[in-house]
Amino acid sequence: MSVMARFYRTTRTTGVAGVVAAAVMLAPSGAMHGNAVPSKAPVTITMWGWSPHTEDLTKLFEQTHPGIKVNYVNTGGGTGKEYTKLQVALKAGKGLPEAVMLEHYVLPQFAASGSLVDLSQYGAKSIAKDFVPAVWSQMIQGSKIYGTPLDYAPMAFAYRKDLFDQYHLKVPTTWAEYAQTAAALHKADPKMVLGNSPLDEGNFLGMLWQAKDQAFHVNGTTVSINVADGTAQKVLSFWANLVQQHLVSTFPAFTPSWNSSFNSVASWITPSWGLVFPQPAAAKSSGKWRLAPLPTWTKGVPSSAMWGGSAYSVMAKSAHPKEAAEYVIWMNDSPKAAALQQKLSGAFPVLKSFSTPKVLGTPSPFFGGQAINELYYKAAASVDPHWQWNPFMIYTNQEVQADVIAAEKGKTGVSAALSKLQNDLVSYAKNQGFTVK
Amino acid sequence: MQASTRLGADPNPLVARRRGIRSPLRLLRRGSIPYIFLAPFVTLFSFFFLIPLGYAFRLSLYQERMIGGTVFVGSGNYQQLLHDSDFWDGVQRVVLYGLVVIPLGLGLALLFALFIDSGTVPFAGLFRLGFFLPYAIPGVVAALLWGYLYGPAFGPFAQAATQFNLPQPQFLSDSGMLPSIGNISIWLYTGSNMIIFFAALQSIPADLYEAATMDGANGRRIAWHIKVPLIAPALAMMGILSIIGTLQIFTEPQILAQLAPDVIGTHYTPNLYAYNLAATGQQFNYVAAVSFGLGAVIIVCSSLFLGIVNRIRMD
Repeated sequence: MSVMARFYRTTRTTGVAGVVAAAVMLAPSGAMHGNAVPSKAPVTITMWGWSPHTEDLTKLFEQTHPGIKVNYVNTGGGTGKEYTKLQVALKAGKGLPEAVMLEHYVLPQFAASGSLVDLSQYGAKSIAKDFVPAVWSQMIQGSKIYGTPLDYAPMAFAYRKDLFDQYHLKVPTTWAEYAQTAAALHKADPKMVLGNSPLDEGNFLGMLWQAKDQAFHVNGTTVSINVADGTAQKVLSFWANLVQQHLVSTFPAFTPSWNSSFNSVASWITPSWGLVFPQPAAAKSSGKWRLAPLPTWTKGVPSSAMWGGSAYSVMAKSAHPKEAAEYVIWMNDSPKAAALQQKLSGAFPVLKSFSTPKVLGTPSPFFGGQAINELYYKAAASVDPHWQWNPFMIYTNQEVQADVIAAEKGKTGVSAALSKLQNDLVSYAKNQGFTVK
Repeated sequence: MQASTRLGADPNPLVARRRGIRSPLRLLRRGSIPYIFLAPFVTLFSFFFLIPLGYAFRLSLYQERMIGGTVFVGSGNYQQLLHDSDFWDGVQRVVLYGLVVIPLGLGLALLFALFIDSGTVPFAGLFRLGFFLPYAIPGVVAALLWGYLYGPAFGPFAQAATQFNLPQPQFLSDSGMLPSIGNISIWLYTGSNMIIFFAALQSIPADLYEAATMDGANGRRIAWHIKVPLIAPALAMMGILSIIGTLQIFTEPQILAQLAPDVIGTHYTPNLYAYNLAATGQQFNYVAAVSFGLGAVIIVCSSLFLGIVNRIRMD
């Protein structure tokens, strides 16, 4: 045997002997003292996420859970490429975190590829009652639980009360009224538009959800795709008409021109995290905005949908799934964590127990003192809990944007664009091995 | 006579030291010298070109599925490529773009080189440096810079238009995007093309100019009838390189897509399409097929160009 091999063999044996000796020495000392201090080294888990204040909440977790250390890595979000790093690590099979922050719409994708742990084996079933059905339905597939909800984002209609009063506009309760208001506003002030098209903001599927259209259905490895039906055509035609008549603007979300557009729109279809963007950009009109329920397709039937929202999940290849599960459940379900989160950010709470009149009733200065979270909470109750995302949403979002925007701008016909989208999604699903019903 | 005359003996005294006996080791060493010199190049060529190419080709014959793992599909990816309207859309776009931008860019570079070489321009060295400087700027930085200048909200052109009540410039609109990208490309690369043409012009013997002047040719005729034909090889070389580079355009659309994602979709150029397929779609097998497809298109275009050049040379 070569010198090197002999060297490694001896070090390995010494190493093993050393560990055994250490274990033998340490174990009895713990048993002898019989106290609550754990005698083994703390477990370290890695967490990838980008939610603000995660560091503070993680510190609180470490204080209350002495055996677990959390290495939090801020992977940055909002660029659309947050999951590239995770997908690359999954493909390489190493460098993966134990816990990860995933938006609701990608949970099915990572669940379908077997990358996520079913948290029901770690006691997650018992926390279901702490959340409203709208958000819990996004965490589950059948009896499997793939994440704990960090937040959820029901949509509502934000509008400039001062402009509506100035031009004698009625707050629209249906989409037909929205179109009428848009025309009236543009006639009165050609420099203003009623709003920015949600399609350009990447929210076409959200609008389908709000129209109670079941675009996707997932059951294990069987998917059904339905994006070219009458409801989808109705929604796309509605926005295409408004865009082509120049009654709404078409700025893509999260671009500099979109940020500055908040000063030239009279309303915005906003999710509950929406304040983050208009507040700095439209600082001049702070106090003049109000919130109302979303206009609907059927008068008198409230309907909302969700735009965004994230969850914490545990990766299947995790070395410490139990500790990681403990972390993700505590961060989103523990009252201590929720209290700290409320204190730090005052955001729309995810726990039902925190959705009290006192918390929800916090007046928002940007909205002229209106208690907007009450309205969002009511909107959450009208969110269809049957909506499902398909297991390849990253690809889907890309295709939806391309095809839908082309139709919106009039470059292609509405049914032609939706047929192309339908065909592209179906062939992609088949290529990926799914059975398409 | 010292050298042995026995059959098969090498008369070279340096080789056949031992009388009449050929040393196989020495012959092997002498015969292998060319290969030793080639070895570094061949190693690098294999590792950084042949092996990755082979691996990519192998990748393109398979398909990795979310359900079912990796499957051998043979020409399946290539058949999908032939019917992929997104890919051919991008190819059409870059070919049409190239037909405009390449002649324009090379023409400008030639013009600048001729001006500077003509000796009629004062401070020629300064102009040479000035035209060349944009080439020193990395492509990404240039795209970001021009993206800001083109910007509809904060760009100086847009602000000037608002100031003077002129219509807003539509640099990043559907119709304005390709010219805007062309502008960035020309700004970036004309300088370096100009330097190459200028260097080629230096190699023209000066007595040709004397002879032409004596025959009564003015500057313009000298330029057109003497200088340009004599640097034709340089023109052809830069033409090929420009075709290859332009058909692969990626940096400018990628950067500008962040400012105008609705204009530049995922398949604006074939290279951008391949990148998005890999980054968001994770479809690495199909990406390999797309890359070979683009490579085939580039080979076809380059061959066409070379064919045209050769025909011109024949005339």
